Amino acid sequence: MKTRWYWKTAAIVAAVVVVAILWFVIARPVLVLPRISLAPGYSLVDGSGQTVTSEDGRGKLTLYTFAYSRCGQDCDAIYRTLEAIDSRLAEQPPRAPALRFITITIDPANDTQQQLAGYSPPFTPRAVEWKWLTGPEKILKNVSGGAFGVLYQPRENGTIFFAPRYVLVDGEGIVRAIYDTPELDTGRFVEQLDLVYEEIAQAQGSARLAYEAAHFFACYPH
Amino acid sequence: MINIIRSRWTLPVLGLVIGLVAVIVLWNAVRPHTFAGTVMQSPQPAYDFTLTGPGSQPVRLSDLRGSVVLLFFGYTACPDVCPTTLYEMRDMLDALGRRAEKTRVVFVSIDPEKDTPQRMQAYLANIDPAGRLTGLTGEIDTLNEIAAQYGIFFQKRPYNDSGGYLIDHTATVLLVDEDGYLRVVYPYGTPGAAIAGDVAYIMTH
Repeated sequence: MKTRWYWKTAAIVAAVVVVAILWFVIARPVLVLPRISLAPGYSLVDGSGQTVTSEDGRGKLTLYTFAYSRCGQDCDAIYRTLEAIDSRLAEQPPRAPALRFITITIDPANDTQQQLAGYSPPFTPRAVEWKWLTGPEKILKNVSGGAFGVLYQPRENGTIFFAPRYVLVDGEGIVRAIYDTPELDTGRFVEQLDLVYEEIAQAQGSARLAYEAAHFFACYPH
Repeated sequence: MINIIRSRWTLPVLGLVIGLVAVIVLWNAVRPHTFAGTVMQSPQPAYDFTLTGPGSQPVRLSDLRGSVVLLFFGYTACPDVCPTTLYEMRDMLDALGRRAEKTRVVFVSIDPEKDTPQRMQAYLANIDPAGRLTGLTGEIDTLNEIAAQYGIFFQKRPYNDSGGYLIDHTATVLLVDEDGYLRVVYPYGTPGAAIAGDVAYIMTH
């Protein structure tokens, strides 16, 4: 029995749809960073005594780091990373929303607001706003140790053991990347940051569907 | 003449209609649902907690697995944002019809000084007389911990010298799916009907 031409047409259309989906998943024409978890809600203070809340980050991109002012060499790699990112971004035209650095202290007993007021960070960024935040120990434990998942433990000699972590949070307060390393590959970070900028700029109207599909099919960079 | 048209065009037209229907059915089957909020790819279940619920009974989030949970943080003296959102939640439950039986709206107080379980129950019954909204409260330290985990900022803001205060807070609505994973984050102002569409989709996929 001959197959009717309209059944053939329907089969071809179905095959085209399936092939298009496979192509999207394999070729990954749209890459996104995953929406991993919610960044914590908080209300902390910076060195000037100004209250900084998680809501202040709405509509901005934030790279969180965790350190303490007496950290010394243990934090050199973090500062080198932040300086290198700042230098890379300073060479580019400014983009919206701007990236900001927030370093949350893991040593609230010593890093009081007064201590932070007199603290000079190891470099002055050219392109990125950089804030150090402190607050009550309990709240910092909830924020850094709990929600951001940073491992830290005071040592007997007064220093603090910690596992360096960088967390990129988007303007909706969603964690988009976590880097567990003392020194971040700046090039890789900037490439991934570009993906977030592309999504912000392009995921509008019908293109939003392509970006949602990229999230749905986990089209993440390697 | 009519017979000629019938015999010549009936099958092609039928074929075209079948082809179009096939495309629409396939497209609906494979396209990602467009959610009203931001979809998360949480690799771990939502942070679990136990708070005090109606009748001062403990309520654990993980005990609600099997239902879609909509979490919202606020307080009963909240002048605008909280009642507006809770009315949207009521509308969402109305729009869900029978699916509302498998949907829980959980209102977590960030004002434990004033919001006793009794006060919350009375407040929520006023918004939804059908009693479908669940109010939870607890110790401030516990609430701080939970709020941080769910991206909720809250801070008291005194407005007079006699102890009156408002609480500034994040007003997102968080959808936790039947398996206990945080799936969608809704900004303040998302219509209840739109959230109902997402809940229905999640229940059927």
